[in-house]
Amino acid sequence: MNASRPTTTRNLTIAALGVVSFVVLAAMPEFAGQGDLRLMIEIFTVFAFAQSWNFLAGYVGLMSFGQQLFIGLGAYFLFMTSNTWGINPFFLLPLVFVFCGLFAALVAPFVFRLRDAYFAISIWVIAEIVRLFIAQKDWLGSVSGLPLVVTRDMDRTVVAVSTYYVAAFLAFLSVFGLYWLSRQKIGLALAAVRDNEGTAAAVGINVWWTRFFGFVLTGGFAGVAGAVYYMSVFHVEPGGAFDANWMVVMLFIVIIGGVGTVEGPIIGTAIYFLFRAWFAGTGNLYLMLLGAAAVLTMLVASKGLWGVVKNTTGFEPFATRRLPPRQS
Amino acid sequence: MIWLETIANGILLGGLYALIGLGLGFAFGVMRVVNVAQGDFIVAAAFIGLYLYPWTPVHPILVILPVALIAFGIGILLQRLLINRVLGHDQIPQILLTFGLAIVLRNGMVAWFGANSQSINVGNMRFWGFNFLGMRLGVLPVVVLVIAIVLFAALRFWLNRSRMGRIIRATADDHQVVQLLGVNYRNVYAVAMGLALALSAVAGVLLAMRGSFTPYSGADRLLIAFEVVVIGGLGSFWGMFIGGIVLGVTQLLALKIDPSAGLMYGHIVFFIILILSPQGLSSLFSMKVFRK
Amino acid sequence: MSLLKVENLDVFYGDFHAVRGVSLEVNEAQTVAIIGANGAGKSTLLQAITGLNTQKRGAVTFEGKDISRMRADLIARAGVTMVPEGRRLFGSLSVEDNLRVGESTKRKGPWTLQAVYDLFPRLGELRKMQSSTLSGGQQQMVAIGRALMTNPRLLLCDEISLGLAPKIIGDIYRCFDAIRQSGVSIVVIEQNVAQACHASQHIYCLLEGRISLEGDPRKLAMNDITAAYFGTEQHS
Repeated sequence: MNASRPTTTRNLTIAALGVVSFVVLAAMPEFAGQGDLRLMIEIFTVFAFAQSWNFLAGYVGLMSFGQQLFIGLGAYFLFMTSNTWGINPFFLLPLVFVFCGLFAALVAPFVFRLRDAYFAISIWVIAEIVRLFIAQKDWLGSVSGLPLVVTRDMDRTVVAVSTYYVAAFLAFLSVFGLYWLSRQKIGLALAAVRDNEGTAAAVGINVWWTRFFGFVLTGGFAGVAGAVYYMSVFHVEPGGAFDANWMVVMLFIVIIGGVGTVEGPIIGTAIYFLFRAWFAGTGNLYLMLLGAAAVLTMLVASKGLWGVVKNTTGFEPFATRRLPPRQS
Repeated sequence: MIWLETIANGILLGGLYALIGLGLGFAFGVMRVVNVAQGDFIVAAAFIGLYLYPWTPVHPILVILPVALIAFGIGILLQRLLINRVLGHDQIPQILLTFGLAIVLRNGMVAWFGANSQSINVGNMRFWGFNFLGMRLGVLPVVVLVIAIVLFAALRFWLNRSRMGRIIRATADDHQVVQLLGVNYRNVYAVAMGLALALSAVAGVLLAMRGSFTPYSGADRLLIAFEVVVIGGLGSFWGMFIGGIVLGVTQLLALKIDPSAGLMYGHIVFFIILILSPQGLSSLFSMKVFRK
Repeated sequence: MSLLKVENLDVFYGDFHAVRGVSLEVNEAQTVAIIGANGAGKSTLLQAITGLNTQKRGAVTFEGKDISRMRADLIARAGVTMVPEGRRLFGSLSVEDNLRVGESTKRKGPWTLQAVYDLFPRLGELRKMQSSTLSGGQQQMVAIGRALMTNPRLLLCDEISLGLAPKIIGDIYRCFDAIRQSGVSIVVIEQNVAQACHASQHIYCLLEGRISLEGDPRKLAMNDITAAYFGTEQHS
């Protein structure tokens, strides 16, 4: 059983997994064609979206139905700044993080007054406000959207490979960064706040600031992922970037895989892309299946597929629990 | 004068918005459950109305009765078969479950009915109007507002005076203790969800008579319902009515100024109220039905 | 014959094994007191009998029927009800509405609105008041009246004297005779040992989830009760 394995062994396992993933991800462009790279970028960024939501819901304990807000915001900020000043968009990504994080920090004091579903929907309302606002303003491209101008004159392969690396890095962070974070002091504080606000406050954790940190971090991260996603398609429009269907995808991936685990969304993302490949031609049927699968998961295995795997095999490489010292 | 007329029409529309929020707010007040699929159920009700109204005797507007009845049944089934299974301290399963349901329902309707814009035809009533204090008002919007007020008042009266209403209020206060008195709270929840959907269904049909809808309208309906409930102060009864009117008036005024704005100014007003008064407008009123 | 028989009951409160192998018996028209320190498992025991707690093993027999797997509302309909700790009135309801929710068991019997008002005349005067505005003692009367309205055979009372003035506690306990005479057996949870001994014909003392002492309070020595209550001597 996992629980009896000393922590150091597990850290080694994680480190080994990290190195292997890093090498595989880094070597990928050598073997993959352009089309494959495009797909990998999409998979990685969608996975990053899902993990940002998973972090918020499963680690911070805040459920949002408006994560598309940050996807769209990140994409628009990147496109606008890059187009206006002619800056290489890759250099702007840290700024995207700052901008989306700041935006999250600005709205947090207000939306934090609401709880549970009302919090979730209030973020959605903000996403709608931003979407409707952009759709009205010509300088933001209105409904038809904006192209990304700067990368047009650059070497296509270089752009594709660079975008791939950024996306792969985001996916890497979504696994190992999330794991690392959940083992830090702040990660423990987040878990305490998520599980029981009262107890967390009683042991001296500042509940509000802990949540705030989680919300801002996830906002910034989703923003960067959104920017990278739209960089790879060279065009952004409000209907797509702020589409509530992003939420459907994120929810599906996280619910099917397992909320509050590092591993779950990996499985969820794999299933999502398989599903999409199989049912892509069926239009709405495919979305219905996503919804039905989510309902079913909630009814029979609310911990998701990863929960089932974990319970039956005891395999849990990214366990965030701290193990007690072995007793003999 | 044109502004006064716009405000009057906003109030008429707001009554309907309040009714959209009532179902969501009522379910929340009783069960602390937020049915994220509410908006899509509202649209589904409109589709049912669309198919039933040609057979409705006397007047098409009476189609709200069979639709409400069907929605009541669906609500009971929804609660019994699905939501009751995931009840617990954690609200996330309920919310995710209803979210999944919303996706299924929305895309099912697109597949079934197509994505075209639809409307329920109430015949000539749509064009009738009258002059009131120098304003030109439509008969249909006034009828709709009256229906909304009657439903609000009837629900309030029923909750206060009937045996079932008393049990519902008691269950809302403490669903554990009612069990000690022989009440199966899961049944009460089923009735409450049935009522919530029936009220929403009436709103959905009336909305489809006043304007048009598509299978995708559910998201906007849900946002309106949600804003009405939050502005009204989470479960406050007449607060919701005020919330609906605030949104209705805002929307029509905004459309006058900026025809392409859609619901944006409604959303913004909602947000401003949230900033100014976190407890919603009901902190200005003392009437709270469900609040402990 | 015994009205309620609990045999070898284990109850969990979350992960905590709160009640361990408890057996007890309540006879017709008898008052039984359960005493014990905080955290001894008294409330969890009552929650298990009423069906509010479902994490349990063992047998609970009421009127010869096993009720250990029954749903809480059906147990209430069978004739077991409880006055919960902290009263837990329906705060947004009036006094009379609180009482009338008790009619939900649909059991016939001597307890009607009028009978409750006769028992607690003050409640008759307050019947239109919102229950959350009442004083603690008045709220306790409403809670007892509400439970009586179900016309129970067995009334469980969880810490009914907690936080009340001694005079009011006396008033409430005096009503127990009238309640018992109507054919209702009573189980009270008490922290006040003297009060419990005075009011009951049989006491059980719970210590860390187990019964440490039982018997007729008039025949037990105070020292033994104190020892069983705090777990000194024989448990050291």
